[in-house]
Amino acid sequence: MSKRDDFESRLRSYLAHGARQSPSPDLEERIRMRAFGRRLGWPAQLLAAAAVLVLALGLGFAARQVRLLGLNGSPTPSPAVSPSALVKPSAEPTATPDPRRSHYPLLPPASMHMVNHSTGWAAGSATNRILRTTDGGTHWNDVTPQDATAGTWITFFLDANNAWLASSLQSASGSPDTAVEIYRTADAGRTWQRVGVVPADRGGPSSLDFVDASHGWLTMQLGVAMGSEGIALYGTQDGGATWSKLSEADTSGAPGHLPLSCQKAAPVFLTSSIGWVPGTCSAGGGPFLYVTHDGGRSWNDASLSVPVGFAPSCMCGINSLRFSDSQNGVFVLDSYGADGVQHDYLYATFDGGASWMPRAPLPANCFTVDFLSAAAGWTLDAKHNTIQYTGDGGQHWSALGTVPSSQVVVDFQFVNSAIGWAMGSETMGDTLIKTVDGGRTWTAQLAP
Amino acid sequence: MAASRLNGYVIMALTEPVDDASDFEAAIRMETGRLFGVAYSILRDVGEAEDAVQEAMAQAWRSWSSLRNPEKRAAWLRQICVRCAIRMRRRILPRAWLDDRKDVDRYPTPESDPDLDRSFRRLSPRQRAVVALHFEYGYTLDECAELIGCAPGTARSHLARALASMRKELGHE
Repeated sequence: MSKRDDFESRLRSYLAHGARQSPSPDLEERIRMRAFGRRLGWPAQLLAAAAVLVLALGLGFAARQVRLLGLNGSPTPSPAVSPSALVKPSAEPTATPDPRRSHYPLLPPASMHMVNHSTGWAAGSATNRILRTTDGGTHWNDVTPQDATAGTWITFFLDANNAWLASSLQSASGSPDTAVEIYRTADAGRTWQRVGVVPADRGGPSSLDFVDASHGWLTMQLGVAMGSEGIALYGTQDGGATWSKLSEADTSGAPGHLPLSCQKAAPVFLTSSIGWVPGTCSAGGGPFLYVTHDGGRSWNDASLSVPVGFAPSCMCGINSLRFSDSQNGVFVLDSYGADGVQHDYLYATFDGGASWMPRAPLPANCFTVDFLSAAAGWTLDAKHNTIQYTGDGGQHWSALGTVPSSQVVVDFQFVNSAIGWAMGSETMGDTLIKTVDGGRTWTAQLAP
Repeated sequence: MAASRLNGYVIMALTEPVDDASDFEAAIRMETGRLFGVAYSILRDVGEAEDAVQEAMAQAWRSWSSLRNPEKRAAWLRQICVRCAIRMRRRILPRAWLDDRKDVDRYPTPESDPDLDRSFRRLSPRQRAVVALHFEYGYTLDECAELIGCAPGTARSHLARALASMRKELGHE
């Protein structure tokens, strides 16, 4: 057994030993007491009621005295709610608002996609909510499809009007129904139609991608083992009405097959035929990037060349594979040395992904990028939440401002050289934060 | 539906007639043990793990009705619990003075591998979380990132640094 296997075996044994630990018998009761409050006996309840009565009488007397003296202050104004911001009419408000019912829509995992400086979408998968803004994020309308099955939701926003939602009862539930319902809007979320069902027989949906109003792909995650991940890819050519299985990762090693080994990120398609599956391999695996030229039916290793100083058998991962137009795209290759230090390298293509070339190392603690063109892009120092900008395709970076998030920034996106958004993740929900000066200053727009 | 206002920005809120208390009670019975397991795997301390579970459940109760789909609550609770566990170690509380539980004399099970245990405890909370979630619970690194609240690249960095540190300390290089 190698030292590496020996260590992992030892670690697993240690962790498994800890898994046998059990909590105190009264933990559940302590949780109840903390959530609902201490349950009082009848004498205590009687005393509490008497105290409330005395307090109410006292307050009533005091209020009467204030009125008599003519000293009553102006009433506190209720929060102004702009009717124009609401897509649908609100129902009668509850007589006694419950402050606990905050209904914050973006509990993690959440996502955002800004189409331009004014229009964008955000989705809370945990809360089954979809929001849309038309004023740059000042107001958000709830455009959630009311009749959609509230299962695991995966969303994709193509442009200002077209969006899709994949809903599955998997994988959080124990339901045997693995089919995935597809809902679509073509009118900016005003109406949604259940347009089709993906005939998946296993797993749960993990990502959705469309390149136009017709051609789309749904990835089903079939299971994860140490260092490998099973996925199946389904495709549609009619906007989501009909779906067929295109490919599935396996251990055959046959040409054109996606391997089961390595962990896969969401596939990224540039056209109806060309797309990539990036991934992360453990030590010895090297970079994982598979490409298809037939719409996802067959996949082949993109055979990346590694930067100088990177071992071809590196423990590598590929992040942030994005295209700024039909020709220009980027991704980040990260690699770990034996010292545990991570090195990140920016790759770029200028020919629609036919070739990917190492461009330049990224600054320390920068793992993700967002490029508007071949030259202009941003990265995030994940340790300090600092946004950095390049105007020369990643050769030089300059630090701009710091995104104010008490936790971490999980995503960021720029729609032009000045305006961008970041999504921060905090315990009680994900936040949306905006910049209008290219990343120098940031202001929270939506927060729990 | 009722309109609500969040930090000055208007969104629509969905209200549903749900019996939150009985739902939550069911979740306490179903999930407490599992959440404790997750928290313990990160904190390696019974008291702190129990504190993390209590904190997680208290936070969850405040937003309980936000989740329309009860099937997602288990995953959501796990996420809150992991984040509470990560934050738990930052507190410097005089536990011996504050602890009013009756089981203060209950000692944790002796660790099976004291050297590895010492090395694991030296990791940062996030590093411990990624190691435990990845190796014990089988989460992908992207899923680990989602659970602890960080970018996927950061989770990979935590794991790589954690493994390198432990290997070095234990002579597995």
